[in-house]
Amino acid sequence: MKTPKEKILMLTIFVFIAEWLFLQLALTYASDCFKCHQTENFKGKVIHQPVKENKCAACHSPHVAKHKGLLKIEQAKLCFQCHESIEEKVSQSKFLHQPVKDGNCVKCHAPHAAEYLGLMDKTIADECWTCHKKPQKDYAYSHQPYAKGQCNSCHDPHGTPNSNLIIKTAPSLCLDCHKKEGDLKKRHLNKDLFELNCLSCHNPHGSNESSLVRSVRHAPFAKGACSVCHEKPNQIRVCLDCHQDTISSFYKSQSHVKGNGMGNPCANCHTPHAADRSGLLYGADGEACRACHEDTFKRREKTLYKHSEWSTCTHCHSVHGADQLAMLKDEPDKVCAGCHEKHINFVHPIGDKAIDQRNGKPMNCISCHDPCTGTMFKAQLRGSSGGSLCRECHIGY
Amino acid sequence: MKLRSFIIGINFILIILSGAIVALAGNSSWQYFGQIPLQNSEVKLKRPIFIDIDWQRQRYYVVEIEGKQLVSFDKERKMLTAFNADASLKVPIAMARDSQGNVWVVERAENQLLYIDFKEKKIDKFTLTHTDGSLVFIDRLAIGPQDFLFVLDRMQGAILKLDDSLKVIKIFSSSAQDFSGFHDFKIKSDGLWALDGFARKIYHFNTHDDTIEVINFTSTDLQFPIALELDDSKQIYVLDRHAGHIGVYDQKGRFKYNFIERGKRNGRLWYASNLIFDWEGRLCVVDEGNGRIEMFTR
Repeated sequence: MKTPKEKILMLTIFVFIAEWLFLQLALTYASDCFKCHQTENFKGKVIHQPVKENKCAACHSPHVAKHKGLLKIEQAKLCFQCHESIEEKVSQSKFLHQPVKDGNCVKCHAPHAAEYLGLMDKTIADECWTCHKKPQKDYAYSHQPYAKGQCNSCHDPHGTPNSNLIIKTAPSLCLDCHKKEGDLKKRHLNKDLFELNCLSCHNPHGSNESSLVRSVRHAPFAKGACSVCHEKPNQIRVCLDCHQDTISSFYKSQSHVKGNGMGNPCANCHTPHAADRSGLLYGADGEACRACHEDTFKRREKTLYKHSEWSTCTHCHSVHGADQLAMLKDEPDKVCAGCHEKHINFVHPIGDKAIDQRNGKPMNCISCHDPCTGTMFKAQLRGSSGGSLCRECHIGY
Repeated sequence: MKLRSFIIGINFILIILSGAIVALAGNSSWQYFGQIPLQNSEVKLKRPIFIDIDWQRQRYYVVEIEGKQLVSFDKERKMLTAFNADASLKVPIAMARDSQGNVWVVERAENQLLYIDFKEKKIDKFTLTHTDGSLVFIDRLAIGPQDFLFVLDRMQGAILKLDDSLKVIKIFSSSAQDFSGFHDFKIKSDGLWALDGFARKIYHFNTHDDTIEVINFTSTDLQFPIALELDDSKQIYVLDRHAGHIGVYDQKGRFKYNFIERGKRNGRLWYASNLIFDWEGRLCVVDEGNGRIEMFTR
């Protein structure tokens, strides 16, 4: 008879042997795998460590699995098992790259082998431009990292605490490369460069203007007439002195005047020096809007069907004020008809003759569609066209 | 032994059940009461934007933006009068009544304050400026003790206390770095309560001891908070325009529960703009998108 201690020892040894045998079996899978899977597909300048070590079973279950590609667990979780630092960064980032958010690591990385560092099939820039078509412009003047395709000089493709996935906010990011003293400081009226927002005037990718200054310039800035604005206190009056007629555009039931103390509320949306778009709205399309309407952008991120050019809010909404709900430029049907000219003639009845049963108000396009945030249904319908949407009003059908 | 275990088990179940009942009661005590105008009435509101309530005379006054009028309703929610101040109202967005029963209206089309003297049948129009001459962008307003007029200046995001000659005598604001301007305010017996929606904060300016208390909301699911109200026990009700619901918070800003849903059917909200309690403790919510005042009771 063996003592309990001896029994435990025997059991432990047995478990170790079983585990070792299982590991050996797993390691032999690779040779079995390559009987069907061509080895050429696993070759490249950069090879994923498990592939290099023939450990196919590190990621794949050879017989059955719940996940595509016979992955042992969900893709992102599987990657994070080894790439812990990325997992930590992702968990701490306020802004995540969409593929990271989707847990779709293979959107950018080849899991077996690739030609470029970071297991990428293309250069970093080419990989980025697969989805991000917009910045691929030919500027007269380009930012060096942009011209060299070094997107990751400024952006972190996984996640960051900053919007647009930039590593650090300006000016800290910019001043990492650009000298803080001398000519640069002099050209900025000897101001403390750390107190300036470089991106409000400069396009970080490129511009047709020298020094990467954004192409639409405020008239006094273009003329170098700084004193026109800078000799007055930074209040709305500084803008209204020239743009006097603009104030009446705010005298609407829905108004965008939103001050936060003694500053100039115009600067909430407009940059006073240079921008990429007319109206001197700062940032990329929708960026100025997002600063306050983050909730709308977040809801939109969760929907499947979105309106085209959804980030160009100004297509449908007034910027200063409107007498329509949600600051639409006009009545909803008229706004939609601006682009959907033909569709407006063959829709479900709308207007005074078609009353929404739910609230007794005339129906319009946005009774059934949600073009702003999008929905989970085709054509941004607010419910299934197969029934649930129609039954909102046509009860009993 | 078995009996003892049985009793302990029953007690345990009862504790869980009572906890669940308390939690449910806390969350679902609000019920849809009805609407203004009455559902089957021929009176329709196109786009109400603001409501004022006369507790003494038990009347509701609705500012109707598309109809360009003020509409009053009795305690049975039947329409009394519709008034457009001799077509002086073009884009009325808010109103308040003084102790004489006369009315202040914010007229957005001209960024003016209208004072309607019913006895004299006279309408006076005023443009407000700060003492330094800068423009006041008038938004919401309320009458405080001794008929002092308080207006929300959207240009600075501050609340202004005005004297009889409409001169700014006090500014309620904040120098906090995250101050984004007030969206709404209410005057209560203990002072002025103001909502800084984007910063997710409530400011309580105590008029008795001149202190300022700042309440941070603990809930992060607020989407677009635009109006506030407080009940007798000083629970804070925050109207979330985009989410279409009302969040309830305690005095420490701790989230208690949400009620109401976004939608177009009765009892739901579609771009609601304001909320206020009536004399019966019913919560009246101005539902701009659905063209009605939704009323909730508990």
